[in-house]
Amino acid sequence: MNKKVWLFYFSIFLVLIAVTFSPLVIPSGVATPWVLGMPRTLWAGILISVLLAVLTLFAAQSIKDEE
Amino acid sequence: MIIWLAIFGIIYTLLLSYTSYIAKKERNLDPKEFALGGGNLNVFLGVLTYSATLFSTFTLMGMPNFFRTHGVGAWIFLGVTDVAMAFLIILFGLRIHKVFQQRNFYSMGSFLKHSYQSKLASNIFLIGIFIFLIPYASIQIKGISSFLAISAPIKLSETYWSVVMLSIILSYSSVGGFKAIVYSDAIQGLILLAVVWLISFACLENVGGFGEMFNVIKENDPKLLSIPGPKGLLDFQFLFASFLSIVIMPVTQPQLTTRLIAMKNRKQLRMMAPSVAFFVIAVILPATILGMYGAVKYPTQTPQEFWNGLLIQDQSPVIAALTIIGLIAAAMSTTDSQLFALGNESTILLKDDKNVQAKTKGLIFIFAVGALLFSIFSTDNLVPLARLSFAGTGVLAPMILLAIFSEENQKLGLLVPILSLVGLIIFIISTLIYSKVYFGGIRIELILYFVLSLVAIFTYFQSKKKIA
Repeated sequence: MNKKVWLFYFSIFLVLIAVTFSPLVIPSGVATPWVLGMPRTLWAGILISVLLAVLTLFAAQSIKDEE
Repeated sequence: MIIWLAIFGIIYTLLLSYTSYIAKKERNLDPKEFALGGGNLNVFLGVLTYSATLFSTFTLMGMPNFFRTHGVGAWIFLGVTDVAMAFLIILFGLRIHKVFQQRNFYSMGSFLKHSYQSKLASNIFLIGIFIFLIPYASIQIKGISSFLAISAPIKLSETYWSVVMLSIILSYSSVGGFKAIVYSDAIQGLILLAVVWLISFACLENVGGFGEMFNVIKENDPKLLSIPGPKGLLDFQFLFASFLSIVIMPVTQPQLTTRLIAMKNRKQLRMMAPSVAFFVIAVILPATILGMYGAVKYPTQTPQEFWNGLLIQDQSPVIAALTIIGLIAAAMSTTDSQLFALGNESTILLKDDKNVQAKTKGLIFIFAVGALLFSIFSTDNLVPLARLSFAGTGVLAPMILLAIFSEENQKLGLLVPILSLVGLIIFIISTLIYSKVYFGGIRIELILYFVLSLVAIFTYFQSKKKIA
């Protein structure tokens, strides 16, 4: 496994998780701003999930593992 | 609806019988073959079997009910967390696959026994999974049986439905072993995905679209639109502790670990991770719609009334029939994997290697009876019970991760296994017996994860230093 590449993707993963558990995504009792008819926690949560899925795709493709 | 139910039921039974037959034909008498299906799963089968094992009745029942009750914060608990778990499959999965292949193991219990050079570690693991997986398996049975008792055209009691479900599971898993379960998971995963989308489209049409649905919720119960939700459950600590419990499930829940080990090679395993991530989104997104629909149409009804309305009454007969088959499939795909994993892990308790397959089947039968008995007495709160299972097995994670990431010649000692046992006892006493979730304002599982992880990291570096 290429450690530098993995650490790069893992750092992005940690940042996304930190953002998820911050008031940016889960403010208590706040539903605004609305996007595409969805309250904040839902659209921001879906966005984070999609970013994580794309990150997983890149991370999986970039790792060269010895068999 | 009965005619459609008969048609889908026959198709599903034929598919299940055919895949069991194929699996039996491919199988030989090697116990490893029975336990891992030859260890040659490709990405397609890997994703479907992993996802079908992960998502069960609570995709169609528990998840929507959880969204209906606690609001959009459930997306963090279910959506973000499960995709993060898929990302970590790369880290945990590749390492597990490598060490299990190199050291020739196919069950976590025997691997832990070898790594810690003591039966204590494997016994603690077995205690943990018995306590937390049997209830988890039983809630699948409970969920589907209570639904069928009310909604199915054939009127049987909950207990009878539970017996029918477990009998079918035992039949095909004992015929074809792990491979039969994998094939049936693939069918069940696809049915589940189709059903959850079909119902969500019908529901959206019913409430006048996505925007209108949230407008009604904004007027009726605005607390559903942010955390911590109307009941105050989804606060930061609950969400974060759930995140930690769930992302480590690939190593703490043997039914998932088995699927990682059984992948053909590490390239297939790597590519399985993003596929699982996208599958998670594809399943939880429509489940969110079902929950929000429930908040609009069934805000005060009981879970059974909600499920009956959502899945049967509000659907066309074709979709309702397919839903019943989908629910049966979903419940079975998780339960069979859990029972099989429990049986497989328990083989470490056998005194000799004679007739391992027959003995594994016997153990699976015993666990099935245990799950049946538990399902008779358990509640309908599927998601909280499932979460309790994740949190409980999560206590074992530092012990397992230490063994997985250490080299074979590292002497790990018994401090971490002993503390894990103490942690399990504390968790069980506080959560199950005294229903006490917090200690000094912090959730008990968070404290346990933190302390055990610190000790495991310390042990890792100490043992590494000794061999340097």
